[in-house]
Amino acid sequence: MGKLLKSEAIKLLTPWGYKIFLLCSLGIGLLLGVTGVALGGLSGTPMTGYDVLMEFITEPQIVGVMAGIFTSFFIGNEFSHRTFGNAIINGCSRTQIFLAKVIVFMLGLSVILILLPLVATIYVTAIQGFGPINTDILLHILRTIVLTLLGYVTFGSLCVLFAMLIKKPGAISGILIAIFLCLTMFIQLMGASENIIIGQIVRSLFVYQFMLSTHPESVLTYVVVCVVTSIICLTAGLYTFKNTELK
Amino acid sequence: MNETVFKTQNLTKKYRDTRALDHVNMEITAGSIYGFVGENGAGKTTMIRIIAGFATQTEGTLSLFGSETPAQLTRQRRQLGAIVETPAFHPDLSAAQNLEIARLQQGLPDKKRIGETLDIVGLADAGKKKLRHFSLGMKQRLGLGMALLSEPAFLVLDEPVNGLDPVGIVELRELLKRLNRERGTTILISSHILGELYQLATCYGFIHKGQMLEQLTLEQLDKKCRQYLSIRVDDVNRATTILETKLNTYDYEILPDKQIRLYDHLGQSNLVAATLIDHGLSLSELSTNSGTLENYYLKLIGGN
Repeated sequence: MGKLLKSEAIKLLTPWGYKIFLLCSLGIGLLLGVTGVALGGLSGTPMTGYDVLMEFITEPQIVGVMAGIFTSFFIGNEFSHRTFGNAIINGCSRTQIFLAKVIVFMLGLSVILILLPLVATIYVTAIQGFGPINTDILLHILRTIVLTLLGYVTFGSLCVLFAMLIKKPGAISGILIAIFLCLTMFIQLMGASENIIIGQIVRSLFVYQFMLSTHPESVLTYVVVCVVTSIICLTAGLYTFKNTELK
Repeated sequence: MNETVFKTQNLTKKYRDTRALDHVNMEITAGSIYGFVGENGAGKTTMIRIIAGFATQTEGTLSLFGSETPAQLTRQRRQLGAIVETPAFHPDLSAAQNLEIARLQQGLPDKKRIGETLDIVGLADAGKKKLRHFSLGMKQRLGLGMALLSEPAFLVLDEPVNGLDPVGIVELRELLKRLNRERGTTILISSHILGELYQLATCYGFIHKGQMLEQLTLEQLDKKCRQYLSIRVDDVNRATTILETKLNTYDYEILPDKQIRLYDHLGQSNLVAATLIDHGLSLSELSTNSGTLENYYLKLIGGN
C-alpha cells in the first residue's frame, strides 16, 4: 500500500497540472485578500486577517468549482487515459487502488482549498494586521480549521463518488460544479424556510453545515453529517469502482 | 505433462443480449506461445480483458496459475504482464516515470530495472521524453516494456505489432522468442497478421463469434495445413493403385466425392496428370492447395 501511495504521489506532483492548481489557489487567494481590503474600505470598518479568514474559509461555490476541476484532473483523467487498468494488471486489488487514490486525492484537494483563505489572510494581515489574538480566538481558529478540513474531505468524498459514476473528465467537472452551485443556491433559498420538514432536510445537507463551519449550530451535528456523508459516498464509490468494467 | 498456466471452463461473457464469449474452454500450458486467432469482434480482446482483470465473466470459471478465487487471481496477476488493446500511459509523465509508477505498483525493489527495460525495448534514449510526444510505435514499445518490467511468467499481448514498423516487428518477434526460450515465459498473443503469428506461436486457439472453434499445437496445425494436390477422378480405387504402383507414393488421403489429396509430387502436377490420364482415367480436377494458416482459418470459420 505504501508503494501504491507513492505512485499516486508521483502522478499528483510530477506533471504541471497540480502546480497550476496551486498557482490558481495562490492567485484566487490574493484576489480574495484584495477584495477583503476593498470591502473593508467601502464599509468603513477595515477587515482584519482574522475577519478574512472567517469570511473566506467556507466559500462553498469556490470550493465546489475547485473540487470539481481537481476531481476531473486527478480521477477523471485516470479513466480517460485507461491507467487504472495498469494497476490492476500489476497485481493491485481494486480496493487498494481506490484507497490509495482517495487518500492522495483528499490530501491534494485539502492543500489547494486551504491555501485560498490562508493566502487571503496573510495578504490582509500584512496590510491591516490580524486583529486581537487570545486563547479563545486561537482555539476558535483551530476548531474552524479542523472542521473546515473535515468539510473538504466530505466535499472530496462526494467528488469521488461522482467521478466513479461519471468517469468522463469533462462531465465530472461540469456536473460537480453544477451540483455544488445549485445546492448552495437551494440552501440559501430554502435555509430560511419556516416549513419544519424543509428546514430539517436543508440542515441535514452537508453543504449547509459546511457554510456554518466557522460558527456551527452544533459541532456534533456538523461532525456527524460530514462523517456520515463521507462514509456513504466513499462506500458507494468503492462499490461502483469494484464493479466497473475498465476499458 | 506441462503445468497449466491459464484455463477457462465454459467461460461466458454477456453484454445485455450479446454473448461476447460463449462457453469458451481454453487452456494454455507453461512455456508455450499461444496464438489467439479471430476476426474483429470474435471475442479475443474480451478474453484478454478478463485475464487482465478489467472485466469479469458472466458464467464459467477461469484459473490463473491454478488459482480461481478473485483474491487469488489478483495475487497471481503479479506474475502477469499484459498489453490490452493499446498500452495506457500518463501522457504528462516521461517514459521512465511511467515505468517507475508501474514498478511501484508491482512492488519491485530494484530501480535499475527501469533502465534495463528501456534498453530492452529500444527506448534508452527516450526515457526522459514525455509520453504525449511519443509515436504510436514508441508507445507500443513502451507498453511492451511495462509488460516485461517484472519479468512475468505469463505475457498477454493484444495485437502487439500494431503501429510497429517492419524492423520493430522483427525485433518484437525475436524478443518474444528469446523470452520464451531463455526464461520459459508463457505468451498469449493475439494478432490479425496470421503470417507473423505463424512464425512465433507453438499452439493456436481459433475463436469465432465468441466460440472457441479449435485449439491445436503447431504440429497438428502443420499436419492440417500441409500442401497437397487435390485430384478428382472418375475411379478413385484405380487412381490410388496407379499412384502407388507408377508414382511410388502412399502419402495420400481419400476424401468423399471422388477426391484424393496427394501430399507427394507437389511440384510435378503435370507428371501426375499425365500418368493418370495415360492409364485411362478421367481427370476432372487437379489443383495445388497451399496450406497457410490464413487458409486454414478461413476454412474453419466457413469463409472463402
